[in-house]
Amino acid sequence: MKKKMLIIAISMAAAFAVGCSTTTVLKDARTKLDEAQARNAGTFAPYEFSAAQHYLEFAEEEAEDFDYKAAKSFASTSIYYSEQAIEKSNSGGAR
Amino acid sequence: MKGLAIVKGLFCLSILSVLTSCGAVRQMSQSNIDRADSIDSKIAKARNMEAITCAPEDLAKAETHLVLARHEAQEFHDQREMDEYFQKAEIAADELISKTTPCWQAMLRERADEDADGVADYLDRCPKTPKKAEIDARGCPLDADNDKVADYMDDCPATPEDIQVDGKGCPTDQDGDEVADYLDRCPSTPNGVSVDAIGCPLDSDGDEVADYLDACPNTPSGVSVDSKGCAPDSDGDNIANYLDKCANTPKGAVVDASGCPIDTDGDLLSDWDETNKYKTDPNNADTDGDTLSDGAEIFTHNTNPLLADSDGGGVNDGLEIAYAKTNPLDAADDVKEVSRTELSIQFDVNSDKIKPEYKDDIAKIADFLQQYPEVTIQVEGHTDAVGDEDYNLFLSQKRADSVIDTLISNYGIEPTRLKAVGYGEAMPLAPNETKEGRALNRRIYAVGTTK
Repeated sequence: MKKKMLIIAISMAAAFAVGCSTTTVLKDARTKLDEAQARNAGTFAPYEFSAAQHYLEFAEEEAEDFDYKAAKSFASTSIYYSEQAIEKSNSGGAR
Repeated sequence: MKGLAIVKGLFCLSILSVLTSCGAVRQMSQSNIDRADSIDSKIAKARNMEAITCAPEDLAKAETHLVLARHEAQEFHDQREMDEYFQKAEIAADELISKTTPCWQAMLRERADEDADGVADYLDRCPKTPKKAEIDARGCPLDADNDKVADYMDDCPATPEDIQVDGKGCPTDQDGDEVADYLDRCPSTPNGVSVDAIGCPLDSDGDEVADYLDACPNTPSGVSVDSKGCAPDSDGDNIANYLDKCANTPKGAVVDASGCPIDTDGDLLSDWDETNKYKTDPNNADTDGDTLSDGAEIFTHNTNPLLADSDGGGVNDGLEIAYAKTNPLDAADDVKEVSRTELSIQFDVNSDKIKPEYKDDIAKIADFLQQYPEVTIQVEGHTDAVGDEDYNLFLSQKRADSVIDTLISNYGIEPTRLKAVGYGEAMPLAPNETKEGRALNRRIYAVGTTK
């Protein structure tokens, strides 16, 4: 009985661990997107900024659906686009 | 039991979650693959139409929704849920296309430059300008002189404003005299006529009749002319009045440069008068051979130029006037001796030889005889009274004979027309007592007589 309980505890811990790392990525993605917005990326890099927004939105939806892998993947992609948007904004929109 | 069931449920959920996050995916159905490809091709088309510039947010939306739809299609979802994802992606792609297309068309319009002159067609007022032409900001060829012929075609790029030009941009020149109409005071000059700087036919003599119409292009300034540019010629002798010293020359008379009838023989009668009026020979100054010119007979002596002896008295007119000093129109005064000429020949004492210096005197007698063939000459010799009278008579005869001989031998005078007579000292002119008197008495005469 004790052994069974242990297995259950480990399994749940693993599931929560995955959820926790996804939360971090989502948080990072949100932070990057906010930074991009602060740099007027919507004006200087509208494509990248918009893509970053959509991917973050998808990531959050996937996380709500417990699809942490997809959430993480979308969040990472959002970060990538936010960084692109920030870089472009820093150079005044030049490509 | 119930608690175990909950734990079992949570466990299964955790496993499912882990399995999901570990990439447990399924194969997309062919219909979903086709839908995804269709959306993808719309996005690709939009990208080709510069969607990144025209509608960047819509591009991002369509692309991300397609990614999401594909992702979800690989997950465990039912078809209805799949349709929702794909529908969203399709809507996003269609919106993308609808926004991108007009933008792209506008860009194409902006970029199009058919004549490659650097001015886009939608701005280019002259979209077919040839490459060699320089253009202005509107894309039209430069036209420096504003004659509506572009500089690159304009052979006369500096034509003054508002001047009518031909297809080559040069001022029109209707009469082709190489003076443009706007400068041409005579724009209807006939073809080929030389013109001056203002396009008018040349008028070298300034008589207001252009050279090409002027039959007399060298009329002096100030002379009035007729419509042909020639000065009047009242007598029609082809010598204009202003040059004509004989303004009333009879019609048909041949005239010289001064407009006067020609007098070929120089007898003061024109050829025309001689032929038509006096009936004399225009090529012989002395038609009747009386040694008077035809003109002198008519104008001076009133004698008949066709009759050598106008009065019929037996002595011709020339002899009467020149030698006999009688009236050539009065037969009654005609005399036989028409001349008596004293020769200034001096002989050496007792000699009958004529010295060379006296040849001229004899030549004059010869000329006279040749001039008047009807005249005969009697040479009369006279001496002074010094010496023997018979000898003087003999010597005077010899001296007269010497003169006759000279006339015959040197001048070919017919001997029958000559006669020598010696008078000795019998007919003195002055007393023989003085030296001067004796000199006067020593003399020789040539006496001319007619038959």
